[in-house]
Amino acid sequence: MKKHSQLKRISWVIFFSSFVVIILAGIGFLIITNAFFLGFGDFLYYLQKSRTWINIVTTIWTASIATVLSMFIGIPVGYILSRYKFPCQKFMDTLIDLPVMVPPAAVGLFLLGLFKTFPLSGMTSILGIKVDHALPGVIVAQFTVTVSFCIRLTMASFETVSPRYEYVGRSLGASLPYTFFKITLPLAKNSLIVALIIVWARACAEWESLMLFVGGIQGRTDVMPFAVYLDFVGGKLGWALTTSMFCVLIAIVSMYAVYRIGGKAHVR
Amino acid sequence: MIRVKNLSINLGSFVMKHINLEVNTGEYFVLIGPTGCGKTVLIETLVGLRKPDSGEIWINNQNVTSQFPEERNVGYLPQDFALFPNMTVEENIAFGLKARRKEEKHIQSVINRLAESLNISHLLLRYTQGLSGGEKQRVALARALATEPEVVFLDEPLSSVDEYSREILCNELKEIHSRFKKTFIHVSHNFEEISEMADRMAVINKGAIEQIDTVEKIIYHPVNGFVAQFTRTKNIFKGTISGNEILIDENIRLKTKYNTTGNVLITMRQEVIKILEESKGGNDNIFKGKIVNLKNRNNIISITIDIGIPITICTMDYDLVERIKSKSSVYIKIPIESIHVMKIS
Amino acid sequence: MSGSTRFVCLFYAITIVFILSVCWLFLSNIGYTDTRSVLELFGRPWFWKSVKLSLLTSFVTTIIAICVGIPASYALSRFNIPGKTIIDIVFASVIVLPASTIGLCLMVAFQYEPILKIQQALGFRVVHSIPSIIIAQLVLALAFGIKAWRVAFDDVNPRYEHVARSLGSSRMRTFWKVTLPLAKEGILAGIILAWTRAMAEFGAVLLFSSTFRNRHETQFSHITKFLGIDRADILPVGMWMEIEGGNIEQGIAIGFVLVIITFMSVYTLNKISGKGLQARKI
Repeated sequence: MKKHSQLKRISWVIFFSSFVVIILAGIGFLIITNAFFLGFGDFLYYLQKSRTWINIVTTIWTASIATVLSMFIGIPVGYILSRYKFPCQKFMDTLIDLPVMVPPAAVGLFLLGLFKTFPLSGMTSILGIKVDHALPGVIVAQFTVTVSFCIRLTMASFETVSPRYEYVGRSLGASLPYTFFKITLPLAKNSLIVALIIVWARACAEWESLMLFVGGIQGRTDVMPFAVYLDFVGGKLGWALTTSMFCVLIAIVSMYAVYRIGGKAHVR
Repeated sequence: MIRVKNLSINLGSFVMKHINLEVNTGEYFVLIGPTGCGKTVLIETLVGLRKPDSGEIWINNQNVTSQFPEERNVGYLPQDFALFPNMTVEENIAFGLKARRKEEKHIQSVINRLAESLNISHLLLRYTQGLSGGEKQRVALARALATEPEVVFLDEPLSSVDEYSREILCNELKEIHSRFKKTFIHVSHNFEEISEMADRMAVINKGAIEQIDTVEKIIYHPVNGFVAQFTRTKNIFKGTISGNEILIDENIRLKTKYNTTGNVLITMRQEVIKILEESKGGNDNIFKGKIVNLKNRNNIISITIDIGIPITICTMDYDLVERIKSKSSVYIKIPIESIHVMKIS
Repeated sequence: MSGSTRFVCLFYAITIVFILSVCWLFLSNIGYTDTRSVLELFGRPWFWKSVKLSLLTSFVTTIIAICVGIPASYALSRFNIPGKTIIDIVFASVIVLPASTIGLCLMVAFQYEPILKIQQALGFRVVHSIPSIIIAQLVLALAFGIKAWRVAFDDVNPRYEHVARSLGSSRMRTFWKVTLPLAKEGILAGIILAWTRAMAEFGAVLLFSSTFRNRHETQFSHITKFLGIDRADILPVGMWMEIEGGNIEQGIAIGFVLVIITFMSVYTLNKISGKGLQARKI
């Protein structure tokens, strides 16, 4: 009787876990075939080329600027969303979610149109910023796609801080900005850093919107994901694969950092 | 002095209307009511965390209705005290003074004085995690008192403390109150926890204040059935009064000091009804009955005696209980002055 | 004006400006299309074939994601699987992978010699076929779906399951009658999220499946022709092709179709999921 129920329990666990194994097998299949196809020698060969490193550096700094910009918007908006109610809350939420949920390719297309219409078209020409086929455009695209993402994450961060701390702070005579900088931000610090890393990783991975918005020129706008595509189309499969491996590396390293800083709850 | 004039607050599910309160300086005032009656909302409005829809709040002859919490000069102790976890005890106490840009020397002297007086000097450099309930309470009070507030608001600070420590914390709270002579306004849903510390209390139900009075008055002279039930009065009956005689259930006749007619609600506190071993005859309000239930809770014995209606009596006279336990019938005497009568329509 | 008022006003202003910019991002493009080209687009059989293809592939993708993802999320949420942390990290990093990397990885994997031989033996080629669209969409749909379903199951206190089991209910019955109903909203949200992701997939599909519009009729099987999805592309790819072909008006029109679809599904998502889930959604 006891053995029977034990058997039942084990088969129950195995049944559900097998689906995890299926997914892992899929991911493993992709990684192993890719690794074999590229080969370690080729990987090392492409690593020695300066273009690989230029791409990496470009990606890192554009994504970093985009992330900082995102955080500048994300922190205030996330804070407001976590503390106050809006009229038509669901509608507003949907608008805020839109840039990250709409196909990024469409976002790129709309950005293209946006920068060709009245206020921005004038502004960019006056300021002398070139967006198409140039790096500022890359940053704009990365920013647009990650900012909604960032707002959601900062909002979740601020929700982990009970408003009671702010209430007490204010009753003690501190103004809202004082409590915000002295209490709320320090208490939300860890999850804000986590948000920063995730947003950065997402910005590093942005490509689809670039396709339509800035367009690819080798050696100018090719951040890593774009370089993967350009090399693939250009038939340079080795280049493409090496760069793509680097993208995978960035993703895994940043998620590991998230796990180390934020703990389990943030990687689930 | 705190004065609340005709305050009304919309809570979505119901509306708090016509709240009028006056709390004297130095008083320990308790707002009490069942969960969800709006008492926390009321205190949040007084602290300034919520805007009232109408009405006025005056603190020390100053209209603070439209002021932010930081401008009101109040202390606030929420549930679990909300000590800032990113600061040490010392920084917690200093927070309000630093926000007011007081000079370092002054801050240090205030911290030392309060720490000494509240016996938390040894904790100053520790972080707030891992403090015991009592230590947390003292730190929270020190933090609130550091800014010399006009009034300290306590919003169920003891709700997550276990029964045993709660009693100790209550005594400590009362002691600190009498030492610092500040106005305390305390929100609670637990009548027994709070009744011994309050100078006066307001009973709130469904967004309205039912009664504001001293604890004694609220216990022995409740204004309606809700207050009577809330103060744990066991004997509440419906009856009719004509002249100075009350008729309950057609067969029980009680003499009272009141003199009216109509339908009434009668309350008799369980601790003032007396048990007699034998009828002494001649006196009013003596009834013969049978013991139907006997319980011992916290060393107080509550006996239910059926005299036609079930009357509950509380006593600590163990000898008497021991003697009457096995008797087939006992007598009870309901003192005339202990009968409280409320008119109902 | 006091410090607090100024602070709140500033933050509110940023929020409102942000929301308005989102609106402006989409609305400023209305000028690039007009009723005539929209009607023209709607009159093209290619467009309707593409819609059909998009809906069909994303539907199949979502079904597969549900069948694999929900049990997997339940396992991750409830059991102490060895190496769970690593699994979590790997799943989370899929979300921040570039679409081009996903597409390329799939491409290489299915073109790898031994795998290609197996395909030849079965008389079927995955790369550049219509099923390959589903595979490309599945990667992200599954990653996002699992994230949402995981939260949904984590939010159900295991105590309910313990109580149900103590009352004599079997594991199976408990799962169907207690866990699933309690996690219903989160699961539904995950399904919508997975579908929205599948609909939005562009990069991976472009690399892995390429385009179908310009291929010869003989390259399509009878089933595809019967379903009316031959020589069509999923909507994001179709949009890109219109833009590349210089047909801006109709490209933008497809873009708006995509925005409207996304808006509706995200609105439903926000409507059904509580604030807690919403905050951890993406």
